[in-house]
This record gives sequence, C-alpha cells and structure tokens, in this order.
Amino acid sequence: MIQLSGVSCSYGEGDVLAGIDLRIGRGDSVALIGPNGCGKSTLLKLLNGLVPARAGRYAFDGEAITLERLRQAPFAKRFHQRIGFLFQNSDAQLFCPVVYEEIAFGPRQMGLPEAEVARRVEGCLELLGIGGLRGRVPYHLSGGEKRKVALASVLALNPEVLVLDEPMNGLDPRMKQSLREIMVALNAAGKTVLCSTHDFKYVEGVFRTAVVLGDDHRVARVGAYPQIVNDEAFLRARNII
Amino acid sequence: MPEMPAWLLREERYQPLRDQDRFLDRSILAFLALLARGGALGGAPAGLRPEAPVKVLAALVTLLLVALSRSPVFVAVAGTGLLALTALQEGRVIAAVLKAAGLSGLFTLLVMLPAAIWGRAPAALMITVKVCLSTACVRLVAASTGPAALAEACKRLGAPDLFILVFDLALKYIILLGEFALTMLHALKLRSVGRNPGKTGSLGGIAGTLFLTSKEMAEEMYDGMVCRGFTGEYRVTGRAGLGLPDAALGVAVGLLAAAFLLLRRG
Repeated sequence: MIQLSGVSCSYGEGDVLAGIDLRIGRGDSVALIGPNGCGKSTLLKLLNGLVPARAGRYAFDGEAITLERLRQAPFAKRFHQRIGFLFQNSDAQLFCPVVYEEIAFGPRQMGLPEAEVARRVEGCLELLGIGGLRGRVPYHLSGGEKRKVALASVLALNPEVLVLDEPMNGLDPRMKQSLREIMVALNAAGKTVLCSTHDFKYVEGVFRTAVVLGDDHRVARVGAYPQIVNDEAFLRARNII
Repeated sequence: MPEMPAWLLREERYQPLRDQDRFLDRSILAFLALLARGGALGGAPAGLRPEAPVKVLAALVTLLLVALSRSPVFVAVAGTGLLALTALQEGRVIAAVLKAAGLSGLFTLLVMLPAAIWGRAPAALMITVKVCLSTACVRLVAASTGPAALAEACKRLGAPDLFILVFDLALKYIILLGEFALTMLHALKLRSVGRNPGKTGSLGGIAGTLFLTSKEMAEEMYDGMVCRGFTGEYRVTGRAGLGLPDAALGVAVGLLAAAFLLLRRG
C-alpha cells in the first residue's frame, strides 16, 4: 500500500529524514516511534503529500507520489480521500462553524447526496460517542473532544489509510482509552493505521508493527511491536524512554 | 464500542470532480514565503553595520525629510543615498528592497495615472518617487534588522513601553501564527477532495480561528512574561556602543538634512 525507497527530506539545513526505506501493507497497523525531533511528523506529512521528498521514491498503492502528480487536482483529491491525516494539533484542523458542518465538509465535497452526508455524519458521531456535540462550536470544545471531532471529520471521507500524529497527546486517560478502542476497531474493519506515538501504555494491542526512527533521522529498526516496546535496552539507547 | 457504520467498511469508489482551487495552493505558497521571510534577511558586512537605534532614527529622519520636501533635486539626492546604502547590503536584502520599492512605485503610478493625464504629471511623478523611496527606506531597515533589535531600538529611542509590547508581540507571533495558518490551510487542502462552492466560507472559518488563537496566544504569552517578573516596563541591557558605521550614517543623514535646507525652495 505504502512504499518508501531511500526517501530523504530537508527543510534547508540538513536532512529531517535520511534514506528512509519502509513498506506498509494494506490493513497493517504500524506505530512510528522515535525521540523528539527525529522526523516522525515530517514522515507523516510526507506520506500525506504535504512535504515533498528531496530524494528517493514514495509510492502509494503502486503509484509514485510526486509534486507533479499532486499538482494534478483530480489525482491529488483522490489521493487525499484515500489517506486521512489526524494532525497533532486538532485546533488547526477544525475550521467550520459547528461540529456537524465540520464532519459534513468532506462528504459534501465528494458530491454525496445530503441524505448520505447526514448518514455519514451521524455514523461518525455515534461511533466516536460525540453525538451531543453536533451543534457545538468546535473552537470551544475540550482538547479530547476536538481530537474526536477532527477524527470524525477525517473518517467521514472513508479513507483506506489513517495516519495519526501523536493522537494521545494532551488527552486524559479515559479519552486515551476511548481513542485506543477506536483505533483497534478501525484496523479490525480493514483500515490501514499508521500512528506516531510515545505513549506506549495506552496503545497496547493496537499495533502489529513498530518502526523506530533514530536521532540520525534514519529507520533504526522495524519489527513486531510487542518485541520492540519490550526491548528496554534498545529504547533507552535510542532516547525513546 | 458502537458498531462500525456499513459505509466505513466499504471501499470508496470516488472520482473527484474538477474544481478551481488554485487559490488554496497560492495561499499556502504565500504563507510559506511569509514564514521563510521571518526575521532579518541579512545586512551589510560586519564592520559596515550600524546599530539598530541609529538605523531606525536615520530612517525616520529620511522619511520625514522626503515627505516634507518639494524639491525634485533633493528627492534625487535622497534616492541616490538610499541606493548607495542598499548596494552595501547582502544580495537577498537588495532584492527585497528593490522588489518592495518597485511594487509600491508601480501601484502608486497606477493610482496617480488620472492626475498625470489631467496635466499634473510632475506632481504625480514626485509622489510616486517619494512612495518608492519611503518604502525602500522602511524595507531596508526591516530586512537588515532582527525583531529583537528593532524592539530594543524602539526602547532606546524612547518609544512608550505599551507600543513596544504590542510591536514585540506582533513580531514574535507573526511567525507562530503563520505556522498555525499554514497548518490550517493544509487541513483544508487535505479535506478539499472534491468541489467546494464555499471556498470563501472555509477561508473565513480559518481567519476566525486564527483571530481567536492569536488572541489566546498573546494573552498566554503576556501571562508568561508577567509570571517571570515582567511589569510592563521594557529594559535594555548593556549600552549601545556607537562605532564608525553609526558615525558614517549620522554624517550621511546630516548631509541629507543640509541638502533639504539648501534645496527647500525647490
């Protein structure tokens, strides 16, 4: 589904990602782990076509994702529908006047009939347990509620791949538990889940694979998630715990 | 955990419709350019760099003299001096100054065109050149001086602390807000997967959130400053050591003032 071969990326001074090789299959659940500043967020942005690769190749479902391809509006729109991105800062992801409109934004863009839009919005509200928020102003919600509304707005597009950037950050334990269950359920429903995290306690049972990025902005290790998070010596050596 | 809705389990067979959304890419590029421009672009080589307060004072005097003068010869003298000063800067600063002056001059020329057509060509040309010079002067100071140095210069020149606080917060947050705005535009772009007839509405939403966020950020920053002992008074540490470049700039402004007095009758 996702294949990166020797991908490097830079913001001017030095590489933020260096020679990344990564393969994520359809239906996988992958945790992206690494110390602060190792390039996790940049990698997720790159996968969503928000930052270009300086070198290497990124292929999504066999198609190369390049700046030229992303300049072709129909291709870019279809690509963005297939891969959903939950930002680290949910405040920056919500721009509609009320929650209902926020979730309906994507389906309406897709030209779905209003009945189907309503079905999707209500489905997302129910799935995430935020039915009571439908008439609220997103800006005034709590951090956890905003995160769920942002996730609902992404899910309403029915993406095949769900990319989440530190989704547990700033949430209370109950909200983290709830988000964990949602991720498990979405993966069980066939969605490919890729998530950057260092909150290991609350993501138990969500991921099958872990990808570790090192301080040198390279992939340090790829393997089974339980093995990697239980390898304390390795995580300490990599400044992750 | 509620059951997954059936539509979420299906593969989406979706083909996007065509839409005009270059405005979004243009907005993103504009914000990227703004962020890339943040802070000083460079300056004159070390040893030829005047202190920020001297630069700001020299710019204020030049702006005042250019605005007051009715002599085309004086304006030409001021322009020559400004060009010479600009030529001492790094390439990026020169480009920024010329671009700002050129664009403002072009815009003023368009506005002044009716006056020129109706027989006021000399006055229209004079105003255009004055706008060009003023813009170049301000851009030269802005492009060659960092935000912290500008705030310090304001303090040394006796500007009120409230003015410096607002100025300082604005300069600090323009970058952070720019980053936030960029993230919001990215969010809009990622969810703009089809035809959006209400583009201006979405951008209005972004502007509203940005406004609320900027207010909160400024309040939080002010609270943070108060918690660390800020009492509303800006203090400048150390003394500004005036050197040869400052003296040279002072002499240049002095000569400009003399030229203004000599040529004031136009």
